[in-house]
Amino acid sequence: MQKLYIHHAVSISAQGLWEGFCLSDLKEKLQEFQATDPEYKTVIPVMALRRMSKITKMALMCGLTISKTTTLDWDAIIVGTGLGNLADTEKFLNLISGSATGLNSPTAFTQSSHNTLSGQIALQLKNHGYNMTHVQRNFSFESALKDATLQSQFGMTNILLGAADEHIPLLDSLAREAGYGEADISGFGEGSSFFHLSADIPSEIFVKDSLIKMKAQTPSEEIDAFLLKNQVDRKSCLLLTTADLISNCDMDQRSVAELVGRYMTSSGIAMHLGCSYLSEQAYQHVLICATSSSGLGLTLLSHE
Amino acid sequence: MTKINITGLGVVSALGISAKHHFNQLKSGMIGIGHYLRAEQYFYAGKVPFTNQQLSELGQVPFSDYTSRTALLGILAAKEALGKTALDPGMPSAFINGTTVGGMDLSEQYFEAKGKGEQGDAALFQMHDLGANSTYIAENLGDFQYINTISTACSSSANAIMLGAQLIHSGEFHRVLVGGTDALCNFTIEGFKSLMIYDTHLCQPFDVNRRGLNLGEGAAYLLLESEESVKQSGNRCFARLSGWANRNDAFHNTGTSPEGIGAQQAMCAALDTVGLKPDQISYINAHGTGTQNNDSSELAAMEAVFGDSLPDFSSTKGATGHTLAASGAIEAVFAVQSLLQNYAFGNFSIAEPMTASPSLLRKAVSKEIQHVMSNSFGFGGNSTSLIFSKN
Repeated sequence: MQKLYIHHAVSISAQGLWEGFCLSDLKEKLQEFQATDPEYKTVIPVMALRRMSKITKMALMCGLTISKTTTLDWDAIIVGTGLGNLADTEKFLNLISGSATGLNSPTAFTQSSHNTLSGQIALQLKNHGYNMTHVQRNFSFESALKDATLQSQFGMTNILLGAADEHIPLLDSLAREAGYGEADISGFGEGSSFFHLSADIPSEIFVKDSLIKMKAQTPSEEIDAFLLKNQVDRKSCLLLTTADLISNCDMDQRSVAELVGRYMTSSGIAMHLGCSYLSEQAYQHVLICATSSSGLGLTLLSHE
Repeated sequence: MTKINITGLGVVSALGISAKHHFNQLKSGMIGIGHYLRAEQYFYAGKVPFTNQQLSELGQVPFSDYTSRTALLGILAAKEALGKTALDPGMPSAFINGTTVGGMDLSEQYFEAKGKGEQGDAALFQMHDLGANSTYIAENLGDFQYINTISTACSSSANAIMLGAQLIHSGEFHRVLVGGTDALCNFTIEGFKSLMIYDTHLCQPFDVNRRGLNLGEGAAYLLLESEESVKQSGNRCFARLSGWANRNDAFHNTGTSPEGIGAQQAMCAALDTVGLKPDQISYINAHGTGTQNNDSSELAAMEAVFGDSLPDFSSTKGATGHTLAASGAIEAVFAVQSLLQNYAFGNFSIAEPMTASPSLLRKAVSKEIQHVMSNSFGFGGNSTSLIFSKN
């Protein structure tokens, strides 16, 4: 694929607000992974803020903060979310299960739509460009990135790409009912990450290649084949996973799960962390690996 | 420009099952929307007249209390669209699905139980996430190398169709099954009621006195193939997908701008991708939901784009109801039928048209059709326009 340059990144997670590639000390050994709320009102109009759920606030904060750094108009706003606006969905489900035919407030319903995030960013920016929302479980962010790659091939120069998922207590009780252990449940996280991408305007760090496979071999086999295809020396490459570390793999690796918890689009924040490692020139390449029960998503970042 | 061949069609809606059957229904002016008793009140909706058990049998999948109706509707339409076309690794294939409610019908059961103070069954949430529904459908069809879900409210499946075309255009895939599915559920019925745009009578898109929409349910898929793929499959090409664009209205989260800026830009950009002049469009299958806001801004947008050469147009949502994420794909199947049969469909439920223009069709018209435009607009200002052309 053609190089897709990463110009800027903003993330919100249990690590706090990350702006740009230069990250201060990472918070290690966190016990819980609730995303730390930044001062949303610095970029989101207060009137709008009041009715917004956390996922919308996080995505808007990230998307609008990036947009402030540039005077350009996005050709495309593309977002990936695994579970979408859970809090609004739960709120409306509670409303309607309480009163089958009563007159309910439509706010939670209208905001429960998965494309609220990309739509709200466009609305705040008065952006009339391409606007898309991808929802494919653990590969929602990878699918959004794939779309960004496609759109840049078809001539879109400046793309705002993002990922967001929120955690609500209902997820914990559902997981408990489904037999998950407390250790797994306390590892649930949330967060949002947005990037300014462009295939036409060069910068130091870029997405070199990406792969989504619905039925994959073992991760280590897939990683070997992918690095070979891209002629990447594994010693110069850091592997970032979204869940457990990959067994039978002799590369340097770490999991973002211990930094931000686990959520379906955490490969977004892995991409942000990867940009940080590359800008420090700690590695020449960063490979992000997201996994599902049978599939795998790989994203290779490189430094010029 | 890579040729995007449409070689398979599948659809289920309140009008019935199969693409051919839908053509006959539309031609004769059938209305699939009926009235049903719900919480001791009548309401109008375009229900698919089969239970989940019956849908499982029709779709040849095992019945389970944990399979969403959205997925079952999807299976049925997807199998019809795929037909006998084999999925094999030699011809990279993808499944791109649009949905907004996913397994909401099952999630609602959990909340209802909890609301009554009963123990809910957490397993009912297995299909809450939209991707799970797409994966279920795909895995019952065969081996797709790539599965993805688009969720942009009422334009979801139109966007899925556009993404599929671009995946073929880029050369990455040769065979892409595209479309969408949404089942009726309390969540969306109560949602549109809370917005006060759910018509308590039969909906009347593009009528002066329109009062809102009736929801419907259904699913539709189209098989898109590259030239190379068609050579291998031997499938007949029904029509081409020739133009597409997505733009944003950026006006209001749920309402559209009076002049339909997003719609105008999407229609113009779609015409640009195929290099057509507005007067070359033979028929527009409009989004036409029946709400005051949508129909007036969509008409304003069409008038702005087409000027004096406004083509024949109509909304088929008066027949199917608004099937949300599925609507773009259902109407894409109608667009292909329009090209195949040389028919433009009518707006049968109009009593008093909102425009004096003869372009607003009230009955199906037999005429030469070369290019059909299909519009889909959704919450969040999402505006998509697709163009289908004669092979």
